[in-house]
Amino acid sequence: MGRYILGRILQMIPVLLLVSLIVFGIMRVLPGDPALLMLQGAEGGVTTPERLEALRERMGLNDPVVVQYWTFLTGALTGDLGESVRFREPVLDMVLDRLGSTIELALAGLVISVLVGVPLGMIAAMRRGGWIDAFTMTFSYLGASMPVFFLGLILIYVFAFGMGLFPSAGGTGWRSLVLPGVTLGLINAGLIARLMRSSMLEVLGEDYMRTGRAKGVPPGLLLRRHGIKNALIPVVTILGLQFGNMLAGTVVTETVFSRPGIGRMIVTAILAKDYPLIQGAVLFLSIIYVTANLLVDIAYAWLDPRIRYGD
Amino acid sequence: MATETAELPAGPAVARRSPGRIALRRFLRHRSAQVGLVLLTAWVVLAVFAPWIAPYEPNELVSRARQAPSADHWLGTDHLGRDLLSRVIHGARISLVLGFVSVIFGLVPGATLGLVAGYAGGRVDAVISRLIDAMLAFPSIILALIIIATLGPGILNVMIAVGVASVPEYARLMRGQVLAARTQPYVEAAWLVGNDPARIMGRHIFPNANGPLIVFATLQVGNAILVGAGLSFLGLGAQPPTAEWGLMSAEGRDVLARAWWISTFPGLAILSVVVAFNLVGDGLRDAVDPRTRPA
Amino acid sequence: MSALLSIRDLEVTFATEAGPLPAVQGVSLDVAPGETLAIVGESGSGKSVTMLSLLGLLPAGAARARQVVFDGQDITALDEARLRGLRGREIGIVFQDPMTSLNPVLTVGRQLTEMFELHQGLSRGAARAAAVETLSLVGMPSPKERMATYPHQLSGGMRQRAMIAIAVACRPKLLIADEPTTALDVTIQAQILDLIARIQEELGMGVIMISHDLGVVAGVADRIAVMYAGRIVEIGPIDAVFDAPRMPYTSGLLASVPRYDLDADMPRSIPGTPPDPLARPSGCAFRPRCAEARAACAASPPPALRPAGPPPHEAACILVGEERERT
Repeated sequence: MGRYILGRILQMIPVLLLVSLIVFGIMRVLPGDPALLMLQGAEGGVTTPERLEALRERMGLNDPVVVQYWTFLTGALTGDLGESVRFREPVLDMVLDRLGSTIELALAGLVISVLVGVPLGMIAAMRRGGWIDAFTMTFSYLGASMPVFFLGLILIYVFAFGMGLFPSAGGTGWRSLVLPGVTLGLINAGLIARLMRSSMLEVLGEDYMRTGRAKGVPPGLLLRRHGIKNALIPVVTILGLQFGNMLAGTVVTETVFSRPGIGRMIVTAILAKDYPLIQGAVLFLSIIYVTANLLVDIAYAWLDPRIRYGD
Repeated sequence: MATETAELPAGPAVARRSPGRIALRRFLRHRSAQVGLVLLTAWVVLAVFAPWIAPYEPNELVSRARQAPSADHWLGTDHLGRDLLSRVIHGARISLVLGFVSVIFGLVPGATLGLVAGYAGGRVDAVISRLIDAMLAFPSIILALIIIATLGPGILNVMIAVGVASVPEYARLMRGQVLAARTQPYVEAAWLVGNDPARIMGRHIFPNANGPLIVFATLQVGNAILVGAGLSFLGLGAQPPTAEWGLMSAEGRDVLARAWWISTFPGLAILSVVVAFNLVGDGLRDAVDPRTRPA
Repeated sequence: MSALLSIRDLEVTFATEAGPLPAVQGVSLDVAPGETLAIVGESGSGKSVTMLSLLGLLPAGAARARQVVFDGQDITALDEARLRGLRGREIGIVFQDPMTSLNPVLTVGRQLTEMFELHQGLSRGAARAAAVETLSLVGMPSPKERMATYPHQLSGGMRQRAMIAIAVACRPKLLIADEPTTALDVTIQAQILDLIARIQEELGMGVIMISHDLGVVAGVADRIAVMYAGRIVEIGPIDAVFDAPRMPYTSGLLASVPRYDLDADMPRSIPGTPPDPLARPSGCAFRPRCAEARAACAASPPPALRPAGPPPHEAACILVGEERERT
């Protein structure tokens, strides 16, 4: 198990290097002078040749590209991601300020999608053809086709404006997390339910389930001890992908609910052409994503001994 | 000699037509595919004939702002006093175009990469495969955001971003199909009798690999519309005063408590179009490969 | 001598899209304590379905019988919970493929201790000790270490030993072995058959050995029942059936087994295939493939077998009656 985890961590290195290369590349492939674009974007067009040159010098844009990448990479490794052009604050501080909120939201969404999707898919499989099954299939269809912002707005209208149960925007504490978390969770629960359903159907037909019945294991225990763990394996394998969906969802959800997070920060940074900030935010989102996938792989190995023992 | 070799490929060409026809018949009998097709046709008709169907110009100020749905304005008016129904109808044009164009931006380079990788094998395959893997290591939304960050906001850039972000998935799918098709006896036969590689790819491999590709592309149209609307909602796509569904939803967000309809109807429009593409895509999948039909 | 298991007129019918599918028709048989009964037949003849119905493992409503008495109680009258108490504890079953029949995500030990916890109410520690003991009973080397292994880490033969350990964990009175050696290497097959025979002797179990392979059952069974198209067509002591088969199907089966005697004929397979269960011929189901078939075979179903008591060797064939008249 330890060797497996170590191997997976080592595999992350080339991926992260590639991430850094792409993030670095953002500013180099811009159509035009990034310093000029940034001054125009961030400061509303008041540019003088002196200020432009100063910004260029400050950002190291006059160096050869290889030197620039090296500076960027060593900077990133030591926590120096440059300074936001617009806010004149270190990018790292700005990202770290918002990181917790984004992870919190993505995790809340993931937990809710699993808590809703797994039981729903399981019951649908066991009561195949019944109304819960039909409901699950419809639900998963709507989840796959519903714009995140639309669901968010519906929830705000009903639960914040209508019933006044939860805040519609911003705020702190668990109450402010409920609606955004449910938004993200419900959108993704359909996929999990659908996958869990087909996985459970497959498991129910497996020989070892028949063995379990032949052993005299009562149905509830048979399902819990022999069925669920096997049925969860394919679900866990897509949790990494799901986490990507969650991150994607936070970009929109944070905007809908005016939550201060990395997703919303990226959007404002793109609109303001604040490239150092964009770079920092994208870098961190990617790192979160890669790390989440690592955790999922570890969970997968824990569930499935065939992976754990490497064959 | 030449005529003899030309005879060989005739087998699969015939075989290829009849499964297609069977699949088409199966597709047209598929109940959810029928629903999707009807829904989709309705939206296409609305989009094509929007100027004649819509009661008003999409950007015309026709009445007071934020009027609730009524006999005059079936879906009400928006925050500026434009007719919401007309804007929703016109919005269908943008979303459908966005969906199809994004898919073309992803499909063409992706399928080409996959075809070349799968067919050439060896070092070419290794390089392309690494590239695909690397791109798949990013969530596609982050790829799309990176592209928009470089190109800047705008509806065309959204199409490029959404399309390019899906390139690796098309490439992976296509490569897998080609590798599977390559081992088919008739492809090996065509190769053994000395057919030109480009001809083998075009006549034998591609037609036999395109079923799953079409299914994926169809589902991807819906997905592109969804992502594109989301980006427009964020202000990264269509810009005011365009009648685009995501943007319209965003415009209604600030007045949601007083005028729910401004965000709701564009949202429902997106939902129904995407559902339509998903229904059609699932129907196609079941038609192309009956084994995956959910029981 | 009272039978350990006594089945009378078992019928199993599956509901399919093409209509009701009769898988087992009017099967009656007895198993004595300590006896090994082999049930042989081609796939689809109903031999496995008969045993699954006995354990209540078929879809609800599929199986009906006039009477199924196990160890003195009629189990057709038992509810699911009582039946469950029987499964695993009183009746153990070994399935064909241990790779798919063992749970891949639980250790061998866990799948074994479960038996003691469920049926004997043992604590974790006591169940563990009992499990280790059972593993050594089935000849698993270093049983303590094997407790922590997963099925995929074992060889095919060891996997089947683990499966047998689970089946005999609670010292059942009856062991059903459903093609226990079919998925194994030839070299392992004999070991597993010996193991089953040894445990049977040690525990005094009745054994029902299901197989399509007469060669497999020849060395281990006391009696044999031959099934064809959902019915038992011949039943009797193994030597009697092997030496003097009374039903042409049994003769055909015997002729199709490769023999190692020097003067043996080449194996011959029976021409044709078993009938579609949805469209079985009238009268004797074997009629279309039978070299001895005559007009009377189509007219009426073959005579029913008398399930118990002497004579022990019977066949559901018109020839038997003719033979009796001649002698």
